[in-house]
Amino acid sequence: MPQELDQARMIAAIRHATGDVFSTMLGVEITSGEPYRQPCRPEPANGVIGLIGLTGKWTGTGSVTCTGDLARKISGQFLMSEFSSVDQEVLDAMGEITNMIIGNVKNALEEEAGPMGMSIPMVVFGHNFMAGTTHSTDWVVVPFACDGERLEVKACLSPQPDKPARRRPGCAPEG
Amino acid sequence: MPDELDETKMAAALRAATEEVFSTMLGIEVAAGEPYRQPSKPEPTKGIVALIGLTGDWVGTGGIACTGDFARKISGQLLMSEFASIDQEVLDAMGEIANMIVGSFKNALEAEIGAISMSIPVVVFGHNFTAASIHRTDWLVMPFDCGSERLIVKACLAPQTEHQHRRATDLHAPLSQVVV
Repeated sequence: MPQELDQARMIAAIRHATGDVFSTMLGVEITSGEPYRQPCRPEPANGVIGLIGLTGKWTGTGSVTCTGDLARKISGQFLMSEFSSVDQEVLDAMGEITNMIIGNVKNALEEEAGPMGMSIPMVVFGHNFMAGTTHSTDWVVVPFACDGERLEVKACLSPQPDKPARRRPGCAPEG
Repeated sequence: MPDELDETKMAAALRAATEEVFSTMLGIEVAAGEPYRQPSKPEPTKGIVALIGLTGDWVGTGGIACTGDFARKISGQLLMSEFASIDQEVLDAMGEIANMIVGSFKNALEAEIGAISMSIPVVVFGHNFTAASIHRTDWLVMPFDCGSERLIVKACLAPQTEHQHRRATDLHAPLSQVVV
């Protein structure tokens, strides 16, 4: 089994899934930017992050990140409402939007990676916090321009080991 | 299939998993408090939160939360080191500790609810942030005291429903409006 999925296929899946959800569900135009790779460690962050775990023969995470302002706008489009602050409804909506985008990415990648399960979305909102996954594979990040703001959709996947290693006291951390 | 797991069994599994990891892997004694239910709505928090997604016939989330000071202490025990601040190693260690606790918890429940897979841990650290899992089932929270510090271990699980695998083009209503 390869150690990484085909990056061009991941980028295409992310672009297609994000474009599909924004045009079909939100009625919002977005423009895809230049994709890049990013280490998967927790990084300083601001705004709203939606995260979903992916499990199967390949495991990893999918994520949607944007500012609080853009989260309010796209949640308003999604729920046909207006939000003056990032409240519970906005966070729920961002979780659902993440669920739809990453669900479509997963569906597109299952031909190569096999069936995958999706966890319940997790959503983080704040200023000057650290957030991320403890995955050893890089993120594949696809940025999008949306109404003058930036939205990032990213995913990381690596083969699931047959038998996950159990740490013993005193052993060095993995990776 | 029941709609909810037996709360007593879940609490016992959370308690046993946490006590095992803390005594075996960290050499730290923790005292379990009274378990309680908590709505899954997002709440502002501070410190460190590590969350792991659970997937299978039942889906949900498991996680741990504590102060930054306690995270430095237990990460130091795990890695046999000392940490003056919350750095990358501490966040990795907290993800690993969450992985061990939630992994042991899910192993204890699999006989009843079938095989469950775990996602990679998500770790968040800050002084004022909101971290939430978007589902409708209450968390079952098990608090633990360790000296003056408190560790929260929590989990929520509900039967898998079709909405998990819907495609965007199949969506006509938000998840919150879907009758399960």
